[in-house]
Amino acid sequence: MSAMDSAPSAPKPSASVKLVLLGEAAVGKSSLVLRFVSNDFQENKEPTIGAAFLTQKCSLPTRTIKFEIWDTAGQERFASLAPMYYRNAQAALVVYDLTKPTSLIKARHWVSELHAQASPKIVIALVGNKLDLCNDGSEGEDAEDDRRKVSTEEGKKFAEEEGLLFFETSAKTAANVEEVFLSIAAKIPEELVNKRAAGARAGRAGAGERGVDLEANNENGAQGCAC
Amino acid sequence: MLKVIILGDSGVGKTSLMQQYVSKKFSNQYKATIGADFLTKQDVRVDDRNVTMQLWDTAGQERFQSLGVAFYRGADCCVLVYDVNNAKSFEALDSWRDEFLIQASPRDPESFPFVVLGNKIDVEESKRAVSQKRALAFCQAKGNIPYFETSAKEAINVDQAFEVIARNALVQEESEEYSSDFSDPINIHLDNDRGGCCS
Amino acid sequence: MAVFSPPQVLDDRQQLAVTAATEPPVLVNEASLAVVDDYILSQESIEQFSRPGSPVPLERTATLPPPQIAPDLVGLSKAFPIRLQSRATTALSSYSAPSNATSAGSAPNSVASTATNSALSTAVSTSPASSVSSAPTVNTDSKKSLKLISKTKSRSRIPPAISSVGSPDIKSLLGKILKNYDPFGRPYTSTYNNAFIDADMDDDSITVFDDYSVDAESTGGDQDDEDGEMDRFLAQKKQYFILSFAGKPIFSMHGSDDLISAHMGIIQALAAGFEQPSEENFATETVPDQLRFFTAGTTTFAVSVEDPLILVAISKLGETEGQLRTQLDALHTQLLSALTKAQIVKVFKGRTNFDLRKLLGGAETFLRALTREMAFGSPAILLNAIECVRLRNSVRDRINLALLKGRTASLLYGLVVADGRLVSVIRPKKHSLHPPDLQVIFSMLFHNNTFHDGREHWIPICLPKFNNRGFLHAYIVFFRPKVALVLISANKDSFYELRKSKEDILENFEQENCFAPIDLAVKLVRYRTADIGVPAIQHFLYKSRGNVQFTMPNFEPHFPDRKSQHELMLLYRRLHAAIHTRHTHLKVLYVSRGNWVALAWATHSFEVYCVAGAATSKATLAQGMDTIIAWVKREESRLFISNGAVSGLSFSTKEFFSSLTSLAIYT
Repeated sequence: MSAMDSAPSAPKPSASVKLVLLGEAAVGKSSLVLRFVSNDFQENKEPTIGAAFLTQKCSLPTRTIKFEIWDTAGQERFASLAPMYYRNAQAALVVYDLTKPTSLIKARHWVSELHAQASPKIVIALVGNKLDLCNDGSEGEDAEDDRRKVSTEEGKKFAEEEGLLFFETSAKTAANVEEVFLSIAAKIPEELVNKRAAGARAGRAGAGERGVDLEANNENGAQGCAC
Repeated sequence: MLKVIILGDSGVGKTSLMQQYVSKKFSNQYKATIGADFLTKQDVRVDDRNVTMQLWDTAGQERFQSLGVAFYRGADCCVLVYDVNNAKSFEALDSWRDEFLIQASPRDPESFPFVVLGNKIDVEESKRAVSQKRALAFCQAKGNIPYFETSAKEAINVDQAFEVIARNALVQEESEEYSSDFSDPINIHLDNDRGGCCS
Repeated sequence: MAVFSPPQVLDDRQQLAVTAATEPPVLVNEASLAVVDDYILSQESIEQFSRPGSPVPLERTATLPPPQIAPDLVGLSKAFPIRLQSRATTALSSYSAPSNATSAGSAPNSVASTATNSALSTAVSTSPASSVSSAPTVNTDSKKSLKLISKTKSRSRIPPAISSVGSPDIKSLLGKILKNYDPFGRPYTSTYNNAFIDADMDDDSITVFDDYSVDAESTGGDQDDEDGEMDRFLAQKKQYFILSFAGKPIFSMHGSDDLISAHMGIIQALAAGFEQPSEENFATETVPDQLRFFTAGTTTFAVSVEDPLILVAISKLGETEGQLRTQLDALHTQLLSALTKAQIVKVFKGRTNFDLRKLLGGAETFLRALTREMAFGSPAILLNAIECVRLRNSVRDRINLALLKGRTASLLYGLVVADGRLVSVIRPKKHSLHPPDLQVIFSMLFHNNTFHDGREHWIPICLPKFNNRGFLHAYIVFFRPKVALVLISANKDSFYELRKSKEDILENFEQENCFAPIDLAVKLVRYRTADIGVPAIQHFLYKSRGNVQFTMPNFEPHFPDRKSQHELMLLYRRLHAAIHTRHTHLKVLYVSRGNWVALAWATHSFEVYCVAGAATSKATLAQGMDTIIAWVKREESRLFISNGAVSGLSFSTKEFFSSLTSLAIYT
């Protein structure tokens, strides 16, 4: 878990994991990414158009994972583009809004689609976002402040049924955000990662894999992932 | 956004019904000249959804008849109103309905949602000219059209009627999730840009 | 009928039978105006209208006859000439009042005819719709105005004043719309010294927009307040609508649903009233008609029917039909860029009740930003041209080379854009880029924050003028805070390929030392008039018609803030309108107004508009313009993307860039 634990002498194997975020519009996909990559949060973000691509490195005990993140637009008109992003993805975050039950319905559709069309080995995390709007049993809090509409149980149950990782997060407060990515990184099977990395080193055409750090505006010195 | 057309002979109380429902007073400004008045009701709740209703109160006059195609176009529901104390206005319902179906030509005329309102039940019983039984028979015969007896004046049944109107309109409006189709790429070798100046 | 009498109650048939062709001349008097007032106009509109340009209270008669029940629209149109234009018909209700009538009766009527007159005058102190024509008879004048705004081949038959089908109720339309688009009850105390803007909006009857989001969003801070105030001000002056053929709202620049959906219904009814549905055979009228444009007082309404959509622009800034139509075209192009024409048509086929807002998916942000930009005043849209960054040829060549070397097989277009201005572009030989398409891209990139985060974006985009049936895909990244690289491909799976291309291009930029000049260009923004030897000129616009590009200096120092810039844009709009009025032979226009004097000149190869301080002499102004023209000619290859020679190729030959250096075009 901590980079300090690993032996500094041997360079850790590094490999890329393609990760896609799916979910209804306005559930907070872009905010989760912004929190993870830049440790930042902005209110009133404009809706994502098409998709945005970024990378973020994450250091694990035995290896370094470079996430290649596709932050997709949740708007309905882009839905048919999704296969382009989840095709060949090793991981997916299916995000819903804890205060909007319809977003969970949408999430179910996404999970079905992934199971049907994406790689069979894809690691999927179900993420209920906007935890900051929920007052879960806090002492003395006014119950009316709680805008939660989807219970933890419901989310957990769905995740268990489908074999998904499950998290409830807040991009605003940063609660649990890093855990999502770390857990995904940990769960990516070694051989899958290595195969992909090997493919990359072989210089597979069109994959854009260079094993070289991208320019500064795409990475933030790995500060966003304090592992 | 649901487009709802209100049809019926003049004098049956269409305007009062709308005003009662929307809780807004307005004067008939447009109907005499462009053939329709408009009211909007926001935050109409149907199950767990909020919708907005765009109500079109159209004039009955002949000179606007040819505008029917335009007015009725894209309607999600049609409300037929008659005055229970006026037999003629009831008899006219059939032709209103026919006219609407002809002008609007909905994709599936059989299933297009109508709702019939028998208005002015606040008037004393003795004046009543059309029995409920008769009205119900008509509605059934025309494909089980929902029927309500209302009084705009006394605010009887108005909200209930419009709740059903909203629900049925929403069903009609409800389209499948529609995503853009990106599967037809532009062939840049065949598809030349369109020529012509743009200034 | 020598004198207009209070409207009679005509029955339906009579109203239909009355046509303009048979109308005798009318005089307008106080009494009729008072009636008109009750029918149509709020007091401030009357005041605006009586002397457009400087609000002067109109003396109202104290006692008015109550309005008659059935509005006599034909009569109204006589008393208060309302100019309607539809595509197939020529001008309607072209009555002009004799000069001894109050000016209210004459002003708007003479929109078309006085464009000629006023253009030649040396002091245009009002909008083109101003000066009182001398007392002509109706017939002469009506013919004149008919000709001037006729769009189709002339018809000898003068059409009805108001279409016999679905007579529009101008009173209600105007009364409500003019009132309702004044969002705030508080008086707008404006420092605008602008005769065209009605600065005092303290009518108590003004309704408040409750969901006017700009107000809600604007936070503290001077800049925000200034922008918020500007937006609120503009909201009172401009409105845009997009609606479906069914009358369902798709987009509006501002306003809450309950207000606008009624207005959209009215517009739909009006538009429908003019159209002749093709599926019905009304044998007599052979050509389907379309409502295109109408004015009332100083408000202009332009309607554009783009099956299955209707687009409307409403302006109280005195804009002309042509100007509004250009804006509607831009708005339509922006909408198409998100959806494609093919899809819009497809989705409405058999589903006339479709609510297109479901499909907009983020595009409304771009539409809103574009409408704000257009309301404020955009030289690019006004001139329908693109602005480029001024660069030395050698620098631009280096950038082009870097782009060309880095391109990949899937690339269709490659652009570098800095702050709304084109730095460089590469394209295949047989494909051009069209200004409206570029304007859409620039608006999306620079009037929104969506792409400014330094991330790499992959978006489907339709370039309607290129091909409105399908999508291209654009790779977008801001590699500097204000500079974007846009790589466009027809292949939706080419993201990684274009990404690699970007890396190569940026590497080439590094090697060829392209970053420094780009950074400098962004820093300096543009040039100053003093730098080119015309310090007396405060600002100018120069459009090269052949290149379909324009250039202008910095707004600073003479127009340092949004307010002054907005006033400047209004002035340019006036000049532009005067120059572009159809059927005038106007070539040179001199205007003196308020704090400025201005000179405008149009030839077949360029348009120039120069603005200087009010004390500037005509000689200095003219000299300044000459200097500018000469300077532009010398600098042409740096200011415009072309091969340096004056381009003889007009846009209509499809070559947007007449020819780039051979390096920038590839097969």
